[in-house]
Amino acid sequence: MVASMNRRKFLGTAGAGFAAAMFTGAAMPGGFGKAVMAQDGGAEFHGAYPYTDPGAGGHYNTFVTNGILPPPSSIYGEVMWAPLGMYFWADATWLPLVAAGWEFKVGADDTEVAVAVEGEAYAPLNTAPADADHIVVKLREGVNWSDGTPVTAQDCVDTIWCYRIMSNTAWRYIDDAQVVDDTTFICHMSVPSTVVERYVIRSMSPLPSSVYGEFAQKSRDVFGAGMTLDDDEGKQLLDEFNNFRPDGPAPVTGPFAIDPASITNAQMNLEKNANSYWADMVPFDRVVNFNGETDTISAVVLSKDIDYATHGFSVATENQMISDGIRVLRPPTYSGPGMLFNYGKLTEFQDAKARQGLAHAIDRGQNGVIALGQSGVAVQYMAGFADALVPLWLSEEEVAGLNTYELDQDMASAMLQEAGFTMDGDSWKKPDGSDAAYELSFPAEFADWSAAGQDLAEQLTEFGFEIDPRAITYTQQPIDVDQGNFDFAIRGWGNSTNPHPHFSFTQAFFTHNTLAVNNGGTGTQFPLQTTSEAAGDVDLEAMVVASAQGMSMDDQKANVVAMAKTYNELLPAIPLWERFGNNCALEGVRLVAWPADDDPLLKQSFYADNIPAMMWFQGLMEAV
Amino acid sequence: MELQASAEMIQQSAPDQEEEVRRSPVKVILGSFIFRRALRALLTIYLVSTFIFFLVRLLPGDPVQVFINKQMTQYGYSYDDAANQARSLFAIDVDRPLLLQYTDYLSNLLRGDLGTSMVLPGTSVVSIIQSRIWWTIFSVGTSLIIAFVLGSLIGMLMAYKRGSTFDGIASTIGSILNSIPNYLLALLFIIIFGVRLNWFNYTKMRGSVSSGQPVEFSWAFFTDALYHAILPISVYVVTSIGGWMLLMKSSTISTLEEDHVTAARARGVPEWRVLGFYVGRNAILPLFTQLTIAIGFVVGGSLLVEPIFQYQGIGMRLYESINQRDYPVLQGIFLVITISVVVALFVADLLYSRLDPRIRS
Repeated sequence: MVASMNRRKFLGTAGAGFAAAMFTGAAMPGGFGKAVMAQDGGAEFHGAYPYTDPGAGGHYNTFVTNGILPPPSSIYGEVMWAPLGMYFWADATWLPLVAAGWEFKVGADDTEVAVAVEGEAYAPLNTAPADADHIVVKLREGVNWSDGTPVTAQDCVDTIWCYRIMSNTAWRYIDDAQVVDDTTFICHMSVPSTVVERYVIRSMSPLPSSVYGEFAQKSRDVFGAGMTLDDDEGKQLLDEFNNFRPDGPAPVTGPFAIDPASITNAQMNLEKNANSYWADMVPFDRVVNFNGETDTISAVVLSKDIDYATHGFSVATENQMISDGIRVLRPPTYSGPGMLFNYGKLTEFQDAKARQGLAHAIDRGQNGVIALGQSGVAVQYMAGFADALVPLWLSEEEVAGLNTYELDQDMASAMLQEAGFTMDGDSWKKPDGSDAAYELSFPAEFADWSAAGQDLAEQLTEFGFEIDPRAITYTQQPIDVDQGNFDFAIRGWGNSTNPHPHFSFTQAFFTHNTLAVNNGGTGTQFPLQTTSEAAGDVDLEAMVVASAQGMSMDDQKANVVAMAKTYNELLPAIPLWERFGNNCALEGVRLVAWPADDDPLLKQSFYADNIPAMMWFQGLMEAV
Repeated sequence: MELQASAEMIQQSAPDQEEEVRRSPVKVILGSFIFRRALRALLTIYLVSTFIFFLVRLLPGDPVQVFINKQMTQYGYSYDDAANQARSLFAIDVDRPLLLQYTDYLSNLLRGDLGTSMVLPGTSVVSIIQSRIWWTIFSVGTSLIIAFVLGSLIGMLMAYKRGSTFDGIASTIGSILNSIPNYLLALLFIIIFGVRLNWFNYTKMRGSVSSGQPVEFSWAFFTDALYHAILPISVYVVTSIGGWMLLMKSSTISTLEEDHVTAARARGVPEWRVLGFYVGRNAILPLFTQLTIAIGFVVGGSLLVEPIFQYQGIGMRLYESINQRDYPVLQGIFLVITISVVVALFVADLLYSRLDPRIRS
């Protein structure tokens, strides 16, 4: 038989077999991935957010990286697994969702919670006792999982314990979470802090015990007994949890649920969950989410196939969007690029006068526009955290006292000369008489930061410094900074995920400074025990740590004010501009309109408490 | 004198032939052309895989640092939050002595184990490669066949009509197409023809298969996969056809000057028959070696084109793995590419040795 098989026969047989297999619909060997979607004419919302499809290792364990659209790190995670509440950044109030309300309590005996009143601003922190050591959460009646069972306190507590396995930062502040009754649970704060509210209410969307309860119990057994991830039991549990792969998506509470059969590497569908408490508030039957980063999504946006995308588009793409009639939303990110100094190397900049002089020499507005068009907005208050948050923490008088470092090159020259710099013709000399020549590094791949670095180098060179701009691959540049291999560097300031200034000050004073030790270096070497005219002798390390501790907002405000003033005076780094979004917001195709530019919703940090979800949960979006 | 010399030569060669007959089979195998080439191929694979192992670790930043930086810069996480996430994700020790990592890598390799992804816990490198490689073979392989067939035909016509307007235009176009980077053409395709002129629906054509199409052996799946592959295939064909055209033209011109072609024409053989059977068949032979080598590179896919079309081939996975510093996946993909290229070269060597026995010595 084999001997009689010639080439022609073999090809004929193979071809016939292949055709027969195709027409009989035989199953294909694994590895091709799988996808199903029915375009049945239902009302669709088109979004874009990157995800890892199952063929590439994506999975349905939403706690573990590469989970498909997990909350809170993807903007569509919330519309599937609704959080206990979402935050209004404009006025520091809450939109309770799965939770009906929560309160901070002293002791665990009082578990009564006054629930939020519809239509009234909700900010439980404002009434928290200064010595509170518990947070009690009351769940909303009528919120069910998509399988029809009610959401219980056990689900919430199990979720929190699962986050313990993943070393969630919340567990630095809490050490226990327990069920009080079916709709009430309580967390004990080992380190009482106002930031616990955001971690518990916003960052840990309840997930069902039917899927994760077993791991929650193991977590209680291991970590509740005092063990840590350094113990074998902890490591084993983490390993087990990291490798846990549910067969499909967990039941959801939100108005949409993943349709697993629809997932390809290019797009996936979220289908309407009719059992959701919020189902009637959302005018769409389906969310089609397109996968991909900016380079591949830009063309889909320009084809008007996407209603909302947050990819950080290039200025050229943004201009094309505008000329094609696609609206651009510019909500803040509460962060942006700044100029860092290597104090260990550049002793001449240890004098704050030199940094202040430099701040006056830089046109931050120009820098922002060149880097990101209208979405690069010059920092005004130079307080170490975003301008929009400053009035929430500082009084009008305190805000007025901040130096806004207007562009004034005469003043800049005077301050630099005061710091020992001298002019030689058109060029600056260092206090030791050598040329004021420096290298400025920035991440090569971040188009906006890269443009900011180039422009900053040109501005300072024109001013008389000799600046050599150096683009370094984005993975290496922060390591170089941490290891002290730089003169000036463009790195980030602020924080997009947490509105408390503590996180921005951590970025300002610790990241690339004391935390540089994680990369085996000394970073900027900015001294944290220092003296400022505004606050006298200060221990910035202790102040940053203290700023997130305790439940007294007054104490925290005093701390934040002192740090803001110190930052404004000492300028450990020079914040250049804040990155606002240039989000694609298509109107009139599938949805009627996005909020007006002056709507408070456009003050949302758009990755942290995203705008579509906030609109859907309030019934604010209208389909065409 | 000449006869005497010949007799001496015969006498000397007789013992050589006897010795050849007495040589053990082992020596015959060891001395064979195929064995030597196979050994060289294995050595190449070993050296390249070793080189790759060390090269990927020279990339700036390790997976943990890349992950932390991405969380901080892209999603605005604090260092603590990002580091906590990284701690839970990466159960790896990137500081383990390099030599130990290398010996582990080699011993696993010998067992056919390419390891597991660093950023996709629990996912084996083999499964990742399996899930991607078929799409690339389909798109790049199809485009190679189309470009080869079309390019050879056009090249042959160019040579046959050398000096004509057609030859001039085709040669210019071939040179231009051969010099355009495929990723640039991919972007131009999308922006000009997809977005501006709306000749095709780029949104629907992204990816490798439509949402809604089960993956199975069926006509519907085949046509759907082809629909999604048309864009990458077109880009590959357009950017590679020029090379085949020019190669075939050059080869055909040489063949046209051969005596047997002149003789055929003198015998009055019809021109179409001369072109097809006397010229074409002979001119295409040298291109088969090139084709064999090109087949070896099919597996490599296209690092830059696949991400542009969101096409889930091996090139896109390689691109992602480089960005994530996923060492095991990088090593695995490079190893597969290396093996396919080395095997293709090996086959090309064998083919060439059949065509030209002189190179066996």
